[in-house]
Amino acid sequence: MKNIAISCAILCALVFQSKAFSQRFDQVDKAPVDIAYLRPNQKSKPLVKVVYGRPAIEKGKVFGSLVPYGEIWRTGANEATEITFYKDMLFGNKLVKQGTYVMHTIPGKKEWTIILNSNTDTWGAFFYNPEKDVARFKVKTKKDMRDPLDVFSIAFKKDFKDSYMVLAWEETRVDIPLDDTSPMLAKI
Amino acid sequence: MKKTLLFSCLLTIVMLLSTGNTKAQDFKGLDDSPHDIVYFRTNKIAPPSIKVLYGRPMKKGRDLFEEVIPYGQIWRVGANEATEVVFYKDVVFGGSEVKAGTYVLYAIPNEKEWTLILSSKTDVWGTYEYEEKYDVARVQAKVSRAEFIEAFSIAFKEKGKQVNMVLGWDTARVTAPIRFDI
Repeated sequence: MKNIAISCAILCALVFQSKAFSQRFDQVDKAPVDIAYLRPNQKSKPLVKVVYGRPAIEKGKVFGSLVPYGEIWRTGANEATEITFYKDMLFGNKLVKQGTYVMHTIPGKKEWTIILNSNTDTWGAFFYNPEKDVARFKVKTKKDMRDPLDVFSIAFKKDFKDSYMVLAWEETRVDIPLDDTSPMLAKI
Repeated sequence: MKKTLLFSCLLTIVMLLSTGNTKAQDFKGLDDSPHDIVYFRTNKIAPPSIKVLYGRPMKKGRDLFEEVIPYGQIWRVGANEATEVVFYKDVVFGGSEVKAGTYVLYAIPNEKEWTLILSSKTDVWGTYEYEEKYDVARVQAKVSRAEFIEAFSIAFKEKGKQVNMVLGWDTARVTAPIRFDI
């Protein structure tokens, strides 16, 4: 039943997209796209760039409800979330080559599965093909009760020497470790 | 008078609270001029041929070509981060051959024609880091008029063997033809 609903959604998306061919100007999205960069300092070239859609809570809970646990999520809205690594890096302790990937996640109550996939320029997670996975790992979730967020956010943070990409919505936080200086990187 | 004072007090408190929050957490709110993505595909299920990632400022009753994007001055063609164009294969952009790759799009608006510039210096903010030596193409694009639109918009229009990239804001439309037959 759910599959039928998803197929309908895809069909609608395709029908709507096709209208763009007659140079219809799109309205501004309700869940707009945003960009986050990780740069070692303000002037330097970026190490990582994320382009993602930012849905907002309208009512009720997000995780375990609007975004169900155990199901693949586009980790944003509309077009799949895209990550560019400007050099080889460790992402969640997995070696990832310089390049552009799509990031999907499978949210869970205690931990999330993070998936990097090379099938880029896709809509949502509907075109997800596990054969194109580049990295897949799990990260424990954290809570920040002091600062619940209405809008889904991705940011970078530095904790002493460690860098993280943080996925944040409501009070849920998922800190994905990032490392561009590990000696492991020299071996490839 | 009392009301104004109360209002400004409240405003100050709200501003202090909100900036405090973003600093502590490093999460920023939604942009006033949100980004958007537009793709050109030869058919619905084909891999993309062109992708544009750009910010969408609103007109908000301003006189665009006086206050916002004055004639003769370089513009980021959007808002915030400079507008990024990805060509997935080699193209002819307004008469100039351009290799597949990622570029920043700038424009110099004018009354009848805009200059469109593709630059290879990517991941920049606005036009502050624009340097002519990174120019890959510099072409003239015609201005036409159409119905009013509030949000700056970029769209594609297929026209026979070529596709037009159309920039639209207020009643201005700027058309840059793109061909793939090289």
